Amino acid sequence: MRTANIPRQLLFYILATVGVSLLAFAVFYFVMTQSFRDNSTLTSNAMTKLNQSRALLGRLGEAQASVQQVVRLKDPDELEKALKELELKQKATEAMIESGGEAAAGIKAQFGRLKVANKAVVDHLLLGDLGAANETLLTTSNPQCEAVRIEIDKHYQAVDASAKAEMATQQARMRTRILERFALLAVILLGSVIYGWRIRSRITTELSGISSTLAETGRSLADSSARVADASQSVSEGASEQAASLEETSSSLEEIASMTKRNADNAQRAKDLAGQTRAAADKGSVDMQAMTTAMQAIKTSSDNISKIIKTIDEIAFQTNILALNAAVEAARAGEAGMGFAVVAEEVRSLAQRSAQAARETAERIDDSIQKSGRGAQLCSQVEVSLQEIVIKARGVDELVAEIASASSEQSQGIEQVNTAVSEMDKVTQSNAASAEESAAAGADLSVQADALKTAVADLQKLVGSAADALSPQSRASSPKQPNGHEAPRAHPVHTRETSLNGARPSTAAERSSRGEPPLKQDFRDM
Amino acid sequence: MNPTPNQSSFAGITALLMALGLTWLAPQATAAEALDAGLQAKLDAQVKIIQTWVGDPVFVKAVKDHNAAVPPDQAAMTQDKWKALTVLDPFVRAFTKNEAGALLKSKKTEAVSEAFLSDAAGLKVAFLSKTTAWCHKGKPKHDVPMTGKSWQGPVEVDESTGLQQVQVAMPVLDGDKPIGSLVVGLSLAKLGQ
Repeated sequence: MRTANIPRQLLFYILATVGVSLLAFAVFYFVMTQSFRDNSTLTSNAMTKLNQSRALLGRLGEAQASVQQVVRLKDPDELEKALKELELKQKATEAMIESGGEAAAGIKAQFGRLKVANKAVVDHLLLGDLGAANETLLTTSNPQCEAVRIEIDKHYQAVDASAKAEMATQQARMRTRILERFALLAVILLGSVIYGWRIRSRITTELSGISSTLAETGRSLADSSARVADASQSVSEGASEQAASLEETSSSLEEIASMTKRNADNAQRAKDLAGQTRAAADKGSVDMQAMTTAMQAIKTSSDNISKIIKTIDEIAFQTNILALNAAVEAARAGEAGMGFAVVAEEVRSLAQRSAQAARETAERIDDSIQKSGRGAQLCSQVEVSLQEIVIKARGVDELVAEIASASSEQSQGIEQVNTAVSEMDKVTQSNAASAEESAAAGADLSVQADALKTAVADLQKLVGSAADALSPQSRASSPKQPNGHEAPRAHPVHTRETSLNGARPSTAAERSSRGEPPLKQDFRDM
Repeated sequence: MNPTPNQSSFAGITALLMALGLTWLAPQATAAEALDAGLQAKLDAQVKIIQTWVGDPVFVKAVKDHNAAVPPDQAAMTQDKWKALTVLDPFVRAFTKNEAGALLKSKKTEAVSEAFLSDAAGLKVAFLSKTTAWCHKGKPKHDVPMTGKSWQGPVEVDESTGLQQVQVAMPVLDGDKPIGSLVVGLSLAKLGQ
C-alpha cells in the first residue's frame, strides 16, 4: 500500500486531532446541554410547582384580604365591585388549585370549606349584619383560611421533597453520563497518542534517510561547484583573450573595408571614365562616317568639276579650233580680215589659256580627287580603327563595370564580415562576462554547498542521527555520487606550463570527448 | 397537631385587633352624651355645609315628587321586608342610583358615614347605603326636621357601620314648608382628624 507523505500525515493527524477535539467538545456540549436541559426542566417543573404553591398562598391571601376588605366597605358601589373582585379571586384561586391535580385534593377540600365560610360572611354583610359578618369572619373564615394555608404548606413541602429527590436522581444520572464520556475520550486520546507516536517514528526515520542523502549530495555539490568555478574561470580568461583577438581582427577588417571601399569608388570612377571614352569613341566613329561621306561628296564634286573642266577644255579646244579657223579665214580675207585675225588670235590665245587653265584645274582637281580618295580611304581606315576602339572601349567599360560591381559587393561583404566580427566581439565579451558570472555562481554554489552541509548537520541533529554527517572522516573521504559511484575529481589543470614540460597537451576535442572543461588555449584555437 | 408559625401569627393578630377594638370603643361610649367644644365646633361647621345641601333643587324635587306619588313597591315595603333585603338588592340599589342618591354620593365627604333623604312620611327617597330602618317616621331624626328645625342626635355606635357617629338632621324645605328630612351621620373619628 502506498504511504502518504509526511505533510499529509501531519495534516491528517492535525485534522484528526481537531476532529476528535471538536467531537469531544460536541459530546461534552451535548452531555452538558442535555444535563442542563434536564436540570432546567426539572428545576423549572419544581419551581413551577413551588411557585404555584407560593402563588396559591398569595392568591389565598388576596382572596382573604378581599373578604376582610369587603367587611369594611359600606358604599354599595364599592361593595358590589369588591364582591365581584372577591369572586374573581376565589375563582382564580380555585383554578390554580385545580391545576395542581390530585396532589392538591386536600387544598381543594379545605378551600371549598373556606368558600362556604366566606359566603356566610358576605351573606351577613349583605343583610347589613356587620357584627355577624365580622364574627363569622373571625371565627370561621379566618381559621378555615389558616387551614387552607396549612394544607398549601404541606403541599409545598411535598413538592419540595419530590423536586429534591428528582434532582438527586438527575445528578446521579449526569455523573454517570460524564464518566462514560470521560472513558470514551480517554480511549480516543490514547488512540491519538499512539497514532502521533507512529507518525513521529516514521518522520524521524524518513528524515534520517533524507538527511544522509542530502549530506552526500552536499559533498558532491561542493566538489562539482569547485570544478564549475575553475572551468568558468578558464572560460572567462579564454573569452577575454578571444575578445582581444577579435578586436584586432575587427580593426584590420575595418581597414580592409576602407580600402575596398576606396577601390570600389575608383572602379566606379573608372567605369564612368570608360563610359565617357566609349561615348567619345562612338561619337568619333559617327563623325568619321560623316567625314567619309563628306569626303565621298568632295570626290563626287571633284569628279563633277573634272567633267566640267573637261567640258571647258573641250570648249577651249573647240574655241581654239574656231580661232584657228577664224585666223585662216581672216588670212584669207587679207587686209579686211586683219582685225578679225587679231581677234581670232586673241580668242585663240584665250582659248589656249582657258585650255591651259582647264588643264591645270583638271590636274589640280585630279590631284584633289586623288587626295580626297586617299582621305576617304584613310577615313575608312580610321573608321575601322575607331570601330575597333569602340568595341574595345565597350569591353573595357563592361569590365570596369564588373570590377566596380564586384568591388561594391566586396565592400558590402567586408562590411558584413566586419559587422559579424563586431557581433562576435560582443558575444565573446558577453561570454566572458557570463563565464565570470558562472565562476562567481560556482563560488556561491560552494558557499551554498557548505550551508547545505550545515543544514544537513542540523537536520541530522534534529532527527537524532548526526553520527557521521560532517565528521572529519566523512569530509576527508572521497565524495560519492548519489548512485554510489566515485565522483569525478576536479579536472587536471592543463596549462601551457605542463605542455612546455614535454607532455603533449590534449586537444580541445579530446578534452571535450572526456567531458573535461575547455582550457584557455582552446579558446585561442577557436 | 401543633399550629404553624403563620397560623399562630394570624390568630395573634386577630386577637390583638379585637382587643384594640374593645379598648377603643369603651371610652367612646362614655363620651356619647356630650362632645367637647372643639369637636362640637367641627361638627357645627359640617352642619353648616350640610345645610347648604338640603336646598339643592335635586333633593327638593325628589322629595316633592316622592311625596306626590310613592312608587307601589315602596308603598308596599315593610320593615321586615326591608330588613330581609341585602344591601345589593336592586330595590335597595335603586335608592343609591337615582338622581338624589348620586347627588348625595357626590357631596359625601370623609366625615360623612351615612346619609339618607326621607319624604314627609319618613320613607326613603335616597341614601348612600342601606339604612337599618325603612321608615323613620316617629323618630326624632325625622320628626324634628319636619317641624322645620335641625336636629343633632347623641353619640352612638351605628349598627350598620360599627363606628361612633353623631347624626344630624335638617328639613328639606319647599319654600318655607318642610317636605322631608335629610339625615347625615358624621363620623367622630373623621371629625377629630
